[in-house]
Amino acid sequence: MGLEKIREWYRRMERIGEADIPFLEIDGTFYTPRDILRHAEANDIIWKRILEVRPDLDPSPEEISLELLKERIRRKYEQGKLLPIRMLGYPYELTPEQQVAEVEMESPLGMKILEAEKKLLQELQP
Amino acid sequence: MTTGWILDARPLHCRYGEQMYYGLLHAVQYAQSKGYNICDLAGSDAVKEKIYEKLDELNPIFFFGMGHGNIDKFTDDKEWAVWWCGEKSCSLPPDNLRGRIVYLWSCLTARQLGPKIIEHGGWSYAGFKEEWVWVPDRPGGDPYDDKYAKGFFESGNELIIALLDKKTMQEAVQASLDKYNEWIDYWKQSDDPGASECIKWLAWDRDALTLLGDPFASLMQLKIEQGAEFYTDVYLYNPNEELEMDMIVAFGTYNKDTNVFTTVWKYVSQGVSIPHDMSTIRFTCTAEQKGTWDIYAAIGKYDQSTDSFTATDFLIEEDVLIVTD
Repeated sequence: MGLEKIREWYRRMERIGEADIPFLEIDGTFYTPRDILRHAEANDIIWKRILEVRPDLDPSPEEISLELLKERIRRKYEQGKLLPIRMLGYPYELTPEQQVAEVEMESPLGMKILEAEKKLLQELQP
Repeated sequence: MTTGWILDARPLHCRYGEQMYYGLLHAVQYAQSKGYNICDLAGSDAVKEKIYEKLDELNPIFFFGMGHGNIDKFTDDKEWAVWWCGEKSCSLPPDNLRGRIVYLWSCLTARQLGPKIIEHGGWSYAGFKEEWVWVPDRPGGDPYDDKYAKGFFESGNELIIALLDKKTMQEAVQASLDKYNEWIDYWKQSDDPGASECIKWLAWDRDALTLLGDPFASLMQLKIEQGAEFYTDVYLYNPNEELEMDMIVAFGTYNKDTNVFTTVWKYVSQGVSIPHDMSTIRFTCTAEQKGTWDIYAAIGKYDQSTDSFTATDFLIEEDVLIVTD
């Protein structure tokens, strides 16, 4: 993947507030779009490893770990980026705090939130 | 047998009722603007008893509604079950949805209730296999005035609008999916802090939308059993003073190449009073012969001695009636 494409993708991620939310997990380490751009620009060993494992930065859904998804939810919450949601079948509006709690418990609802987060990751592929 | 009527249930008093009530109103108004006969059960009228009563009385081809569903249940304005039927029990079977196109805009009904609707004779069903979720920016009101909620409700309404635009159920579902994607693309270009959450839940709803039954079902096609009675409503616009004319509604086959309509059976009404402005003339018809039929409707002069009709204005629609065993 070319540097220009990575820069363009990073700009999009930055615009929608995703620049500092983990996007990839390589060898147990999470990388945000900002990290990925930095390593790509440095053309360092980590970038080479990223290219080796995820040449198009596009892992299939089964390759996205639960830990990465949970970390994304935590970071978004810390950065005030989780919003309240309404579900037609649920008795109350789910606040960001409740979403984080459900995710940490890995409750059925928490797992659905993580599944939705996975769909988001797929939408954000370069 | 069904009629050209459409029935909807638009709750107000259940949780998030205000957004359902105003959100669905856009689809209802679209139906009205297209000249459909729509019975809008809104607010406290959107309850099981009235829904059942109107299904029986109007025999609508299409029912849509919002509610708080579950895998085997769809609820009303009081959050009481309207239909309750799943793999383990079936206390409120969806028998009264037989022959109809159904869109249940609620959570989870595609898992068990949707399949049961088709099993009980529903023509086509669309609904969601997961919870239907949206991101609100405001506590209530019209979701079209809410910057985050608008995309979710527009995408959900698109299915109804496409059906009203004479698309098949499959095309209508695709139109709705396209609208979800359109909004996802919109948020991808945005710098709003809520953009990423909107993308997430729009993708979630999009992927949960499920179509069951006949993908080719449409409002343009009435599918009924041979011998059954149905209504054909002819919409007229007369810019002049009230006048009297003869009218004909015929079922048969239209050959585009020769521009000839071959009548199989017909209904003629003589001396029909056509008032100034908009009016609707209803013909009570019977499904005489099996097959897929085109319709010819005209105003003009009927000559009884030759059994011929000279039209001053007419309309031909193809493949509008399917008569089955």
